[in-house]
Amino acid sequence: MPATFQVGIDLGTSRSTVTTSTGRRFTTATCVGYCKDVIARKRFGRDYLLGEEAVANRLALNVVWPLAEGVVCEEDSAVEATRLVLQYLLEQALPERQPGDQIYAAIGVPAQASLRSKKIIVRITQPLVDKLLIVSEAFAVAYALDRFDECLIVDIGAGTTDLCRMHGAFAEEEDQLTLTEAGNYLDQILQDAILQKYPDVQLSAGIVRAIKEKHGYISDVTRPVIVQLTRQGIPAEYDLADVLQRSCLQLAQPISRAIQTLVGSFDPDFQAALRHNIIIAGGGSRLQGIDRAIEQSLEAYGGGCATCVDDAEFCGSIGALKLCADMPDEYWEQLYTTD
Amino acid sequence: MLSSVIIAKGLFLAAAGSWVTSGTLLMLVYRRLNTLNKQQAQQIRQLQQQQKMFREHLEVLRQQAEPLTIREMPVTQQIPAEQGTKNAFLQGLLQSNLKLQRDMQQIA
Repeated sequence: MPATFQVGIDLGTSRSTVTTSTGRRFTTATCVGYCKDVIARKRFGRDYLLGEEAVANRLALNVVWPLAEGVVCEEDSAVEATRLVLQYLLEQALPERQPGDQIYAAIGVPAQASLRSKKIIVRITQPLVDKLLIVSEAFAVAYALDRFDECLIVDIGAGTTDLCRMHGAFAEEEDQLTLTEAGNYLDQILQDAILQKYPDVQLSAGIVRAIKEKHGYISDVTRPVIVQLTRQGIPAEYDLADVLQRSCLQLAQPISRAIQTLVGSFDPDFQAALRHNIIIAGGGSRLQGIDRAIEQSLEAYGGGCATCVDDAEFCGSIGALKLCADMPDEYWEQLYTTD
Repeated sequence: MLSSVIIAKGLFLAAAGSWVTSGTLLMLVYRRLNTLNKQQAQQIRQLQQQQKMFREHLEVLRQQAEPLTIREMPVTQQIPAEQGTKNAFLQGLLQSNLKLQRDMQQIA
């Protein structure tokens, strides 16, 4: 008898995660590396590598990050790369899948993704699954946490920051905001700030991201952040404490403004409750002190309270999976099929 | 001459007495420090024991916490929210997806 698998997918700019009803979780870098030449193809024995393997061997590959802007662009290469990543995620997460088994999937998209972007996602995903549900990433986070009422979800990803206010009813478009100020934006301003302070150091996107992920913080307490970088190939140690703090604050400021926008346009009776229930998710929630920075910025508006989720990486895909699991069969019947 | 001998003996006895006193004091200080050292060593051992117990307890908690994620427990059992609230959300989600479906068909 064919089995039905439910999967929640968080297709992110930098990393994608999947959580399945069989209890498996899997995450990978959202990229595909195509072999640059015959030598690379012979070395790897394939035309392309996926995820971490592609990142590790990037010198021999043309690496495509299909969701670089937070959504899939219409270029054929991006569409094909997204399809390959999705296929890879499903293969890794459901190795027990047999021919004839069905997959019901919920896939997260940025809160304010355009119709065109959603259409591309549907077009790519439909051949891979049997039923498909498109859900806002921030809403999936709220569902994962069972926070349906008077709270504001801030999902800081690599390409976009999604905000969604929950008020006991399904979040409509006016309840959601998407900002382009997110992880990649922070990488860029961090790189610029480091080069401004130490013009001769050698940086790459990977080095900057590694510094951010290891040391990124937003705090009044200044402690030295000593990082080893190279100058003309010669390694030396550099203190990046002030650079990191200033750069991270530049990310917190637009997010705080967006929070205030959503709070300010909400029912005045519930504005205080919303401000005191801000939940920060996504990779950006790992920035030390971002909750305190947001709280500080809200002091001018009557104060607030922000907390970061425990499982920043899988929270979105867990919420999507929960939605899948709770969706009644008669609802699924009405949704997209491969037929 | 006799008085000189008596003075010398007195000095000798005083010196010997002070040496014995200071030696006794040193011995007492040494013993006290030794006792304190042993107490501290015992406290450290107790703390290490407690640390080990905490670590074991933490490990047990961590293992117990695993099923709270999606891994082993059926997903439907994890949601304590009221069914009515959830149904309203699922209905809303369905409507938004159906609207997307209609919009896509119109574009096509």
